[in-house]
Amino acid sequence: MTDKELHQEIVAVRTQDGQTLDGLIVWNSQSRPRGATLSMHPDGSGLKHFELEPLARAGFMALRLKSRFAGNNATMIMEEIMLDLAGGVKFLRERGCERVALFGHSGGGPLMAFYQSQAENPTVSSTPTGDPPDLTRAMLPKADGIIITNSHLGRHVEFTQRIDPSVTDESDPYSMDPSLDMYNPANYENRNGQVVYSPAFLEKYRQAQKARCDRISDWARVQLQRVKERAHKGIHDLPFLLYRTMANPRFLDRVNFKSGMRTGTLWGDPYQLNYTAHRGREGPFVTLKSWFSHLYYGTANADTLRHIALVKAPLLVVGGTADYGGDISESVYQAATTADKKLKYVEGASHWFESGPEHLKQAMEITTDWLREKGF
Amino acid sequence: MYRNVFETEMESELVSLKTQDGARVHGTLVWRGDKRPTTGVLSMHPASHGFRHFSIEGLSEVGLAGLRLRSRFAGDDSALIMEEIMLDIAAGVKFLHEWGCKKVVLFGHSGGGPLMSFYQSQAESPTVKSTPAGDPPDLTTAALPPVDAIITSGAHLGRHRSLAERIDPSVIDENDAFAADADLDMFNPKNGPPYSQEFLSRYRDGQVARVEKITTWVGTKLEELKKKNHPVTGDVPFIVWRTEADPLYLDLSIEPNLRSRGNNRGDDAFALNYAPKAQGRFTSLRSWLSQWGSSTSNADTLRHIARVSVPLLITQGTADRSPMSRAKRIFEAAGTKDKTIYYAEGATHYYRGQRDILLKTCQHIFEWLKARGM
Repeated sequence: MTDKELHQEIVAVRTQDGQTLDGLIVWNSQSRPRGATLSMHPDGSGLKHFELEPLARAGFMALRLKSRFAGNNATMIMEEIMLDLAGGVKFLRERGCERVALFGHSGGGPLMAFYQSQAENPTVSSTPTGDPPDLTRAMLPKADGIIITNSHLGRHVEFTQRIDPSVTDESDPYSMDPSLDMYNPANYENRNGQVVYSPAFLEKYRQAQKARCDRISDWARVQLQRVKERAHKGIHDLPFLLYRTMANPRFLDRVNFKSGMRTGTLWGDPYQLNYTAHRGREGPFVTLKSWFSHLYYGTANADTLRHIALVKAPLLVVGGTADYGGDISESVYQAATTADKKLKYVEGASHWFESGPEHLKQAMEITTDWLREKGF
Repeated sequence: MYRNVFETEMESELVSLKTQDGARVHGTLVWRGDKRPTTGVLSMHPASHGFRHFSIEGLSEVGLAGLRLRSRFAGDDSALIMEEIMLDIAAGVKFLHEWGCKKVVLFGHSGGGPLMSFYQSQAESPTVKSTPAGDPPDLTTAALPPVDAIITSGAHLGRHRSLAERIDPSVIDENDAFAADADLDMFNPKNGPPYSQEFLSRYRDGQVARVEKITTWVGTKLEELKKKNHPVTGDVPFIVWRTEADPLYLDLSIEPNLRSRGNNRGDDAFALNYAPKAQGRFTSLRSWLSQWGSSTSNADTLRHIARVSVPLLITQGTADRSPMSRAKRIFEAAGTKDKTIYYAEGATHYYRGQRDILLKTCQHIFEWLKARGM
C-alpha cells in the first residue's frame, strides 16, 4: 500500500493527574484496526519513530506519546510516567482498540516492564522520596502484550555503569583521581590499538562508581531535609549539578565487553561527552527527587529485570546483535516468568535498526507476525 | 489530521527539517483541507517543545496555514544559543515557500517576539557575525530568507530583558538557594505588596546588579577555561537560583490590567521562584551570554524591531500577567511605517480556555493580512 493510505493524526492525550501529552497516531485508513501499539521513551522529544509506519501498514493502530519529561530529564520522576502510559492505553481503548501492546525501544523497555508489572499487580505506593503518585491507587489499565526491542535494564543501571568515578570534588568538573580514570592510558592495556582493562581495574572501577552514587545520595538526603523544612512554603525540590556521566569502560573495551557494537557511544565521542557542559543522557542538571527516582541504583523503581519477572502478559524481545545490548536482550528474556515469551535476534542490526533497511524490515516483521499470532 | 480547539478537523503534517548547519527541527503544519493556503504563518518559541499550540489552532481555523516549529533547543534552554535559532527559523521560512506559500509571516508569541524581530532584522540587513562568545553562526553569511510581515503576541522584549525583570535580587550567595537579603526580598511581607517606589527602585537596581555580576563572573570563567590544560574546555554549566521574582506578580497596582496574581507559569510566584525547572535555572557560560546577559545578548526585540521594514501587527491580551506596556514599547521602537497594536480584551497569556477571544484575535489577524494582500 502507498503512504497515502496511512492516516496520521497529532493528538492530545490527557492523563489522570491533569497533564496533556502530545502524541502521533498512525493507521491504515482502509482498515479499522482492533489491535494497537503504544510506544514511548522517558525523555524522547520527537513523535516520528521507526516503528509507527511499519505497524500501521501491517494493520495496527500505532500511537507514540511524548512523556511529560520529553526533551528534558532534569526533573524526571519515573512513577509519573506510568500515568502518561496509562493515558495512552486508555486513549487507544477509547478509539476502539480491543487489544493494546506496549512497544518499548531502548529506554522505553524499562518503562513498559514497570508499567505492566504495576498494572497487573501494583506495589509501588509512592516515589522513592515519598511523593505521589501512588500506583496502587492509580488507574493503570493492563496492556495485552509487551514488545521490548534493544532495551536497557533501567536508567539507574545504565547510569551506574556510566558515571565517572574519578571525580573527587562534585563541585569541580575537572577534579580527578587519575587511578580511576578510564581514559587514562595508564589504566588500560593497548593491545594492537584495542583498549583492554584488567579484571582488577574493572572490579575497582565498578565499586568506585557505586561509591560515587552513594556519596551523592548521602549528600542529597541532607539537602532533601532542608527542602522538607520549607515544604509548607511550596518548596518541594532543588536542582543540582552532576558532572561527568559518560565513562563506561564498555565504550572503549571490546575484549571484555563482547557485544556487536563498535567502540564509542550512541551519541558521539565518550570523552568529549563526559566533559560537555550541555545536556547529556543524564546530567549535568538533575534534581534531588529525580536523582532518587531514575538515577540512584539503591532507590529507583523502574528496573527492567525486576519488573519483567512480575509480568504475566505475553512478551516479545527483539534484539539487534550489533547493538550494545545483545546480552541485555538475553537477560530480559531469561528474567521473564511469563509462560508466553519469545526472543528473536536480527543479525547485524544496530540500536535503531538503521544498520540496513532490511534490519528494520526484519525487526518489524518479527513484531507484526508476533502481534498477529497473539491475536492483536 | 489535527483536531483543533474549535473541534474542526484540519489537515496536518509533521514537519522534520534539516537546517543549513545540519541541525534537525520538528514541527506541526496545520491547514484547512479544501485548498492549500497561500499565506503561511510560522510560529516559534526558543524553547517550547509542544507539537500543538494555540497559535496554529486559531490561525488554521481562520484559513491560514500555521506551522508551529520547535527550535533545536526544544524542551531544554540550558544550552540555548539565540543565534543558532535564526537558522531554525530560516529552515521554516524556506519550507513554507517550498510548500507553496507565496507569503510567509512570522508569529512571535511571548519569547517568540524577540526571535522574530531578531530574525527579520538580520534577514533584511545582517550585522551579527558570531555569538557573544565568538562562536558560529555568522548571520552575515547565512541564508536568511526575509518574510512579508511580523505578528507579535504577548511578546517580551528579549530573554535578557525578561530575566532582568524577574531575577531575584535578594540572592546573597550564588551557591545558596535560600539565603536572602531581607531588605531586597519581595516575598518579605515587610516590603509589600504594595511595594513603595523607594523599594521598587532599589529592587530594580539590585536586579540589574545581579545580572551584571553573573555576566562578569561568566567572562572570568571563560578566560579561566581557555587557560586550562585540558582537551575539552568549551563550556561549563551552572545553576541560577531564584529567577521568578518580579514584584508585578504580587502587586497588581504595578502596570494595572485585568490580570490576577501570579505569573504566566503559575499562580504561586514564591514556589515558582524556587522551582527546580524554571526559565533560566539551568544554563552554561556561552548560553548565558547569548540569551540572558543584559549587556551581551543580541536577541533584543526593541533594537531589532527598529530595523525591520515589513508590516508589523502587535497583539496583546489585557489579562496577561506580563507587563502590558511591552506592546507599546515595541510599537514605539518599530521602524516600519505600517504598524498596528491590537488589544485582545480579556485575553490571558495563552488564551487558555478562551476560544472565543482567540478566534476574534485570529480573525483580526486574518483581516489585517488580507488588507495587505496576504
